[in-house]
Amino acid sequence: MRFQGRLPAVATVVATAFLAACGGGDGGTSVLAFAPPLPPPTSIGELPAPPPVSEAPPPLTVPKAVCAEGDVPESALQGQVPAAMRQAGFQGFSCNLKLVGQFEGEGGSWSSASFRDPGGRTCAYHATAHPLDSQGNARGRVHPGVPVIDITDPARPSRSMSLATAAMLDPWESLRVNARRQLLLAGNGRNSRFGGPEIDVYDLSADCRTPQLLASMEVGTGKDGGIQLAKGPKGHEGNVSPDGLTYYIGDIEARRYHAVDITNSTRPRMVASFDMAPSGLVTSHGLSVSEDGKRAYVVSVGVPLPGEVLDADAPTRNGFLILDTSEVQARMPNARMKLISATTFKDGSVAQHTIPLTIAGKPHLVMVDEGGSAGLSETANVKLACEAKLPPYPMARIYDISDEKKPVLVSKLMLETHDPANCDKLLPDIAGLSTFTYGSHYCSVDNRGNGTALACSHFNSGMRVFDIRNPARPREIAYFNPAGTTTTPAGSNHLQPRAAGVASPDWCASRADFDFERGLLTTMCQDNGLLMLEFAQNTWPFAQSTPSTLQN
Amino acid sequence: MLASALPFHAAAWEADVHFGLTRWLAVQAGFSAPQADAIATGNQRVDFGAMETMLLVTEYACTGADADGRAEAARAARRLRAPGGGEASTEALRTLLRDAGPKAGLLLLKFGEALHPLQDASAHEGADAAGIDAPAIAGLPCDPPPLTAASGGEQAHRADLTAARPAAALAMARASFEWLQRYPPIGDAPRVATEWPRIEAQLGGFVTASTKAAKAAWFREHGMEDTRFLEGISLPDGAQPWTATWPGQRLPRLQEAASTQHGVPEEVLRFFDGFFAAWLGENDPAAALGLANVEGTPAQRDLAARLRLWRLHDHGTAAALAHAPSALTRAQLQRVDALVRDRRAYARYPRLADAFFPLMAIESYAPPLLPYIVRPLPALADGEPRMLAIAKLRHAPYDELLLVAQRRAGRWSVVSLQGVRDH
Repeated sequence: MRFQGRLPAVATVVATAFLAACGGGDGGTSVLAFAPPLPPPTSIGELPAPPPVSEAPPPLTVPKAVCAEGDVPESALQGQVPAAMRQAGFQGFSCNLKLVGQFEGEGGSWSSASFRDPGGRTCAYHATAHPLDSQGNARGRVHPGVPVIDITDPARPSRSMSLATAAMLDPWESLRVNARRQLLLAGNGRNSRFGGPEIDVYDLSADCRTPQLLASMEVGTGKDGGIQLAKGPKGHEGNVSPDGLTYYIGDIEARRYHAVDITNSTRPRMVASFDMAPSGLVTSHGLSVSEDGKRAYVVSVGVPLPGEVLDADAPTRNGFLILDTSEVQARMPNARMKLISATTFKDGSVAQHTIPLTIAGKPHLVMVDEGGSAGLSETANVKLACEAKLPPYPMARIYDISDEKKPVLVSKLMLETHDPANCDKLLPDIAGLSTFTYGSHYCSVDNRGNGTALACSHFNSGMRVFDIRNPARPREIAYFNPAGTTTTPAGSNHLQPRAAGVASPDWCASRADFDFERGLLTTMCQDNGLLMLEFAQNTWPFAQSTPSTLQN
Repeated sequence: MLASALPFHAAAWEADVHFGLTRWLAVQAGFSAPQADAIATGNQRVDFGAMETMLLVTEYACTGADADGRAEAARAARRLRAPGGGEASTEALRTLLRDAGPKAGLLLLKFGEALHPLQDASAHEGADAAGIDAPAIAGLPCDPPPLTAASGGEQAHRADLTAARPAAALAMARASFEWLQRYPPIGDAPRVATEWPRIEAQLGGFVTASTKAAKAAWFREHGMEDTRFLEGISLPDGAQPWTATWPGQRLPRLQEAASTQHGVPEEVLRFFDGFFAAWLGENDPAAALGLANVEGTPAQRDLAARLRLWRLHDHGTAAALAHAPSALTRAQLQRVDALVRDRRAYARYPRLADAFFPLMAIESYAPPLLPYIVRPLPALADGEPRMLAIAKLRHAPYDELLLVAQRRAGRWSVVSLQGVRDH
């Protein structure tokens, strides 16, 4: 699917840019199209134009991990898969993370989750590509939907079934587990434009290998008994509050965040919706919710116009908002979400998601982009960012939110690939590729209540883990970049040009799950499928680490 | 009118049947252990263990603030509990089996849920006189009206016990087994069932067991080591206090014991918050009445005794007295004194909020989870305002507790406590 030409309306522009951003390109080169900027809004309602956060000069890149004997460390820059290695067939890198099990299945797409049931069994679930591509052609899926994979023995993962109800056919980035209520949830994502208003809810409590369907129903259309939107919602991103009572949809087409009451998990019901439109040329995407449910940390997706990238004084739109969701949490009639603060920055775009966490007793927020300083990480945008001497690829960053009205940037998790000084060394690697190349997509923390380690998927750079005990000086402790595959499985959205028979680097784009007891990290890369990775001794957990099922 | 749809006046089995027997029968019908667990869990959660099935009879029959919500809850209750028996008791099963098809593996919880009304239909038979106590509170309009006082008391939970009606219990077991055999195949795995006569021959001990300990022993003898599901059933514990808790509940945790219910006067909420904190705390439960002399008037003595009875962890021992419809006699009061002599007999909770099941009020908008629900009652002849608080305590999961408070001379006090069976 290609996105070409100029599109008329701002909502469509932002949303459509995003479709491509989130892998909407089914193949070939995805061309992002942006309309000319609209005149400044006369009123921006409850969302005032925020000033950019005062940022320090570009920090040093994150110190590299020190690998153990027997690892296969990176041979060039941190995070880089050099062009020559790509042409020869990428064989993978590993450092302090060892592959102990893999379930390739039919590949995967954008999100994954895991759950340990009361019987002690552990299962993983991940999104896969919709059985039909954007043109309506069958992809050749055998077991469409979300595979249920028993990873109780991580060395021998096995699929017990696949979930193929409306939302599970393609949950995109919305698949989540809430361990406290033992629920598996998703919205009908399918790259937004083709998505729908359905929410699926499964019960995992009896046996994680056989999720039990509680609900697969529309919300926000009036059928659920809740608020009715002018236009039915479409899924894409989503997350659940820690108490498991509210599921939030990031609806990029409508540029809204919707709150869905799942207290009665058989009858999801939309109870509130927050409109991003008053803030101008931005849309919604991922989010997270505070422990008490009274705050939502939602991203503000902005993509700079080319002229803005080179203009140091151009307004910034990409970042995150802190919303007061007390009325939603209290289930007040006509509940509203209210803006507390907005934080934006210039050296990133296409904001992906956030994670509130406590580090050493202090409240912080991890915020992750999926676009670099000039947009998505394909050659033209990378060159533009490089010309502006800005990081061309997306990254995670950590904020101190002790004062939620004035978040303070603490650190950026820049790899050497992000350093504009290295632009020329990296451009050959991404020649001919589209949409995503280097840079971050999703992060998970080992424990939101006591964050000590952060794992972030980086498209062509694999899964990378950082020590964040000192959030001002994060350091890399491990990475695993799986060997490339020579073909794209039917359930993968990694549809990029490939030389015949040559293994090209994967797209690692999913969240991850830390397993404290077993010293494992479980994640999913699109072509390689589910990966169970074991930390090398003395890598993680740290002495200060504690187990948690609340990881993003 | 809701009357015809309401599952009042019905006896119903408890977790020994809905979880334990169902799981055992499912295994006999050829289901795998995990599948049998799912079926049994879905069945038991109809009574308690999931927000969606925890329907307060007082709310949907009497006090719920939203008519549509009450009607919907009443319909759900009818579907889940099928008070009339007959065709209605198998409606959910027939629908499920018709539609399950390739989704059969995903619908085992729903299958268990659908078995629940079938099983309770047999409990209703011949049990009318021992039915649920509808709230009998002066001035509280209910639809249908409450039963006469003669129907509660000593019989309140007796109809829920298999030993009280062994023939009905056996009929229920056989009907359950037959429906279990009808469930569509899951994947390619064939199910091989045991012959019914062999099953029936083993059920005698199950039916006649008269304590939790005896039930647990039967299950262990029949291959089910985990008997925690027997928590809360109306049989006495047995020789040892029952301490196990069923892990199959999938309920959100109440964050706090203080109520945040919308639209209730603050002074009323704070009064009930304080009352519950005192009643469910470490001291004598009757001290919650705040009386200088807790053994004051006969009515106060009765209320004090009931406050103590409903705190007893072994509710099976206390149920008959706690449900007594008329004032406790001197002998009954002496029995209460004996039951509560050892303070360790009271249920204790690590946090006050853990004592409550989380509740959802029936309102025109979705309310937050609540430890208890407050509804106004019509004033009596003296014109003083009255309020009703509805709560469910974790150690008495088959009962709703109704506390009536009245304001006199500017001061609120609880004047009555009534238990209502709601399963």
